[in-house]
Amino acid sequence: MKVTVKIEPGLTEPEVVIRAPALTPEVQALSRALHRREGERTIPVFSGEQAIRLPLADILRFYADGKGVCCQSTDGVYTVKQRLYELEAMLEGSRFVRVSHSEIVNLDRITALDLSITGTIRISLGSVTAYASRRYVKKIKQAVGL
Amino acid sequence: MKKTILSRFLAGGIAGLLLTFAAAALVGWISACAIGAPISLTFATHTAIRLFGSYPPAALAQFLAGFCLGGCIGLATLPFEDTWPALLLPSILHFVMTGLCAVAVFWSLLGMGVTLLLYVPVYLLVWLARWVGWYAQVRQLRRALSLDPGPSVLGLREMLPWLGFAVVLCDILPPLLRLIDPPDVPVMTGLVLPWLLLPLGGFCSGFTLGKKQGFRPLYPVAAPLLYLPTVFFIYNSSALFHCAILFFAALLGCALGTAAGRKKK
Repeated sequence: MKVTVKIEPGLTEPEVVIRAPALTPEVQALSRALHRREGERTIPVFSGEQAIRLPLADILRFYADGKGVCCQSTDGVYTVKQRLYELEAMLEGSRFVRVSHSEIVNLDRITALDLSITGTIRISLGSVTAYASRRYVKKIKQAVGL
Repeated sequence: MKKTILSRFLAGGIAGLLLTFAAAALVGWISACAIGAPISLTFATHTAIRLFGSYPPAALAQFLAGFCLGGCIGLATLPFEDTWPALLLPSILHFVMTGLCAVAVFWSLLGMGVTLLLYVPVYLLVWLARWVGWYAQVRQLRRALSLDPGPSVLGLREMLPWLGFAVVLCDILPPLLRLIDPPDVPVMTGLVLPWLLLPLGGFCSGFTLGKKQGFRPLYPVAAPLLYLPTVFFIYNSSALFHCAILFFAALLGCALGTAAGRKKK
């Protein structure tokens, strides 16, 4: 395996691209390891007035709640200061993808996908349910590499 | 959003105009071939000309109707890009508007009643084809996320054993019963098959399918279709009501089986 580091001053954060002739188990393992590293990233959230840093890997979804944006993790619901579009930009290229006007979900936390009669996709994140509108299906496909 | 609606409507409308022109050209060519006359383009039917009084306004109305129908078709996917219930009203509106445009285009050829009778199943068929495409996308996403791909499109593969039973019930059994029927009083094919075997077989197979696989509306539709050859080879068109018996028996069985399966879970 050849490792090359290219410095591009125009980038805002490091970007890792794996180039391979085929999707081998080795390449998949490498991708998973990098995603795990990505999952170690944290984001500041608020529980009332208390600020804490939550690992992205523990977050199920971000959703707009009328007043602001909430973050639902495995152990509770928190608020975040950023708007949904800011989170979308911040999490670009990660395993978080916008699935509707008011929700961003963690692809690694999806446990089931079902299609409704109207074409919307019901996304199960454990016991939590989110709905993807058809407008965002292309984005979801891009995020999973289709 | 307004820009998207306008651009899609215009693109669809232009396609509708071109299709109207092409259809008129085709009809003119076929008529010319049929009667051996020179090819002429007729953009309005006699009925339309009578309604509008003369050819130019009738032709203009036909082109306008073709433009509007094309525009409505161009907007077809837009209501589904939103989530329920936001898509309900636009979907109903689209169904009604497209129906009105279809009537405007075809009423002078087919009449309003026939146009509407054809429009509804065509609209539903197109919607079903799109749903099948969406389902294929969901299965793709499931595989990409290492999830269980789930049942096949419309549950067809999982339904095969039941379709096999339906073939036996609808296409193999009737000729065998006809063989054993007495020639003077065909009790088996005249009474037993339509009033006992079809409803019982349809209901039981629908029930077990619903209980195992969940509600599969395709099965009550497929079973009568499989019975059609029997209607025309063993009986005649007066036996078409057998298809209705089979349809309702299978539908009821499937619905009850689905309910029983859910209750058990």
